[in-house]
Amino acid sequence: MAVHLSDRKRPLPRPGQQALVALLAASALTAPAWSWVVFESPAPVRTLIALVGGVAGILLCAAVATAAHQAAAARIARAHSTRVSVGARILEEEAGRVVDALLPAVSQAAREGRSAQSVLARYPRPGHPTIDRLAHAVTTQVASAERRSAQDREARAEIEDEVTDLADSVLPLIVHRVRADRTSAAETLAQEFQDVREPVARLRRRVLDEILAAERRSATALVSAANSGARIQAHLTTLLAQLRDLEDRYGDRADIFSDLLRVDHNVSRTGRLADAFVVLAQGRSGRRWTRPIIMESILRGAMGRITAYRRVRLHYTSRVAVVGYAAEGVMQALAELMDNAANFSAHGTDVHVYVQEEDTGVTITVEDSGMGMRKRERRIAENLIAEPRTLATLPGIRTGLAVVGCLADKYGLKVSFRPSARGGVGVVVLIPPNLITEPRARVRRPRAATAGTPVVVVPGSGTPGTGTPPAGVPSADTPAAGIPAVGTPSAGTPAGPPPPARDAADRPPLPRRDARPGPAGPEPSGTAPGQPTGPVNLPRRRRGHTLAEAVRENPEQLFPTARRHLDPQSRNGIPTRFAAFRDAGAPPEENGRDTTREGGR
Amino acid sequence: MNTDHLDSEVPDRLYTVTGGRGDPGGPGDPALDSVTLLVAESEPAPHMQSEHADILRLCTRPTAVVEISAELGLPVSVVRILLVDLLDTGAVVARHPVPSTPQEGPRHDPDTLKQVLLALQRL
Repeated sequence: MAVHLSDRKRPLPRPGQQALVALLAASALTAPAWSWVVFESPAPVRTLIALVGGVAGILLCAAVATAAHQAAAARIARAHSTRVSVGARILEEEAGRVVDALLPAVSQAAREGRSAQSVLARYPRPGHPTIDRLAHAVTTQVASAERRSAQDREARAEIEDEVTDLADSVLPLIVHRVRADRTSAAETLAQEFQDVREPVARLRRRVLDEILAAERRSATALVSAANSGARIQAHLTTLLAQLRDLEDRYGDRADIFSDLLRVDHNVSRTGRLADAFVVLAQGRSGRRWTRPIIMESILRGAMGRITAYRRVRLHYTSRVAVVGYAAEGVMQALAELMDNAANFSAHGTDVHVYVQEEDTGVTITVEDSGMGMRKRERRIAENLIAEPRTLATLPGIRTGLAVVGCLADKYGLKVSFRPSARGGVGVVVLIPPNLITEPRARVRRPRAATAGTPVVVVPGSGTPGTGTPPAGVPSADTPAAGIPAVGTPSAGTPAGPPPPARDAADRPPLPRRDARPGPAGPEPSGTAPGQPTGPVNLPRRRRGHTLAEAVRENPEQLFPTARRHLDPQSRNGIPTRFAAFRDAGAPPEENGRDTTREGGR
Repeated sequence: MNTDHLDSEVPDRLYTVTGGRGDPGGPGDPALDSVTLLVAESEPAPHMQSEHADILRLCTRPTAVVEISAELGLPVSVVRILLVDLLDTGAVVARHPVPSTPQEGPRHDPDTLKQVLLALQRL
């Protein structure tokens, strides 16, 4: 029963009861009245009166009972109507309270993260049960929605954190590791990864795959670039060797010769571009020299590779040499610096190159009188030197300093920039002492007769070495001990005593990796060029030539000893004899003079 | 084409040795031919290019241009250019072969020379 009955004082009588009561009361009055009338009436009409009176009495009683019943029913209906209107008002009020106060408070609490039940407890419980149920249901719904929303918020925050972490620390780590060891990076990184939610993990996997693929592509591109560059270098080296042959052949024809020199210069410039390309592609340097290269040759080798080499002025007295394996790199780096200096200064001005020997090595300063560098340019330049780049990570289109940076990193050169006293930039390259050595005496061999000019064959151009007999008159009967060098006229000729190096005698030598008692001592190494001490049977080829060509030109180098036994009078002996003939005619001091000259190199 | 090219090979190209000149030309001595003898007049200085110093050491005795060329392993044109430099600074002097002028007539009688040649061939 939905009707609220608490205010009822007394139960209203039922209409049936009322009607019965009224009927009894009416009957109680009517019956005696009828009896009295019947008794008092004359006998003849007594029956009629009794009958009419009875009917009237019964009708009266029925009317009274009906009226009583109706009155009771009307009372009940009135009371019921009152109750219903009161209930409706209460319902309206409580519904209004729930809608206007409780629901906003619950949603507010949900927004603020408080429990909806606590809010419900604070408010008076609604009197109407339906409203009460409604309030409970709404609160429960809001609370569960609130719980779900809190969970979702938490999940979202976690994903945000993971994505942020991925972007800020994991991706840089991935990139770094992939660059460092690209093949095993995927497996090791997969083990190191923290557990993250599935979408983030998928994102991470995809990014890692892409980075690995990109790195593979970039590595492949670098390797193929380095290979093509190396091929270009090989061709250019061949071309330079052929040009040198042509220059020797046409050395006495000034017109052809100067043209050849121009072509030579252009090929050398192209060579520098190919070298730079290969260095940036992380390939190997184009040439390797088998012996130390003296500073003069280093400087001229560098200078010859740039366009404006005529503007370069060299200032050096240093006679030290750069070890063979690093010589090419040092030359390349210097060539790039000289090219920069020449390009960033006015055409009429000179680029000055100074060499100084220090305790910490040899410094080479390249100075121009150009515009100089602004702070930002200088920072970029220093950054290029500090962080070696490759073709894949080149920050701009300029390659010169990037090449210098790669080479400096490879050989441990120190490159610094400073303002030049001439107004431009001075770049100081420090070659560390472990790359500096004493020059080996240079082998001056007479040119081959292909030049078509008279050739005077001079002995004594061999290098000093232990085990060679002291100065004297060498003859054809005193070939070098051990296996003769392959087919060289001067190689088998013993040299005079090793002369003290002129410059080394003038000043104390630098501390060097291969520090020797520089002045006056014979070189302890017996591995001077052209005079192998051990059984060096490997065929040797000239630069720019294939081994097959070298063997074709000089087959005996494969079997040097056999050939010598078979043909003692081979043409190899003849120049030696001429040399002996000439030396025999010369005064004794000439030997000393010749060798001094050699030692001076 | 010998294998010790490998060891005698140097990284500096010839045009850097001559400073970019391929032709002596210029104000140098135009009569500097292959057999001109040269004599050093001064000692090599430390600031000199090494080829100049080598030439000066070589020319303490009169030496021909071709001989210098052979000694240094450099083409004759290059040596000429280097020598012109040295001649300009007076570090060397050139002794030209005495020309046989038509006025004086040939210094050596061709018949005599021919006889000498024949005699040599008969040896």
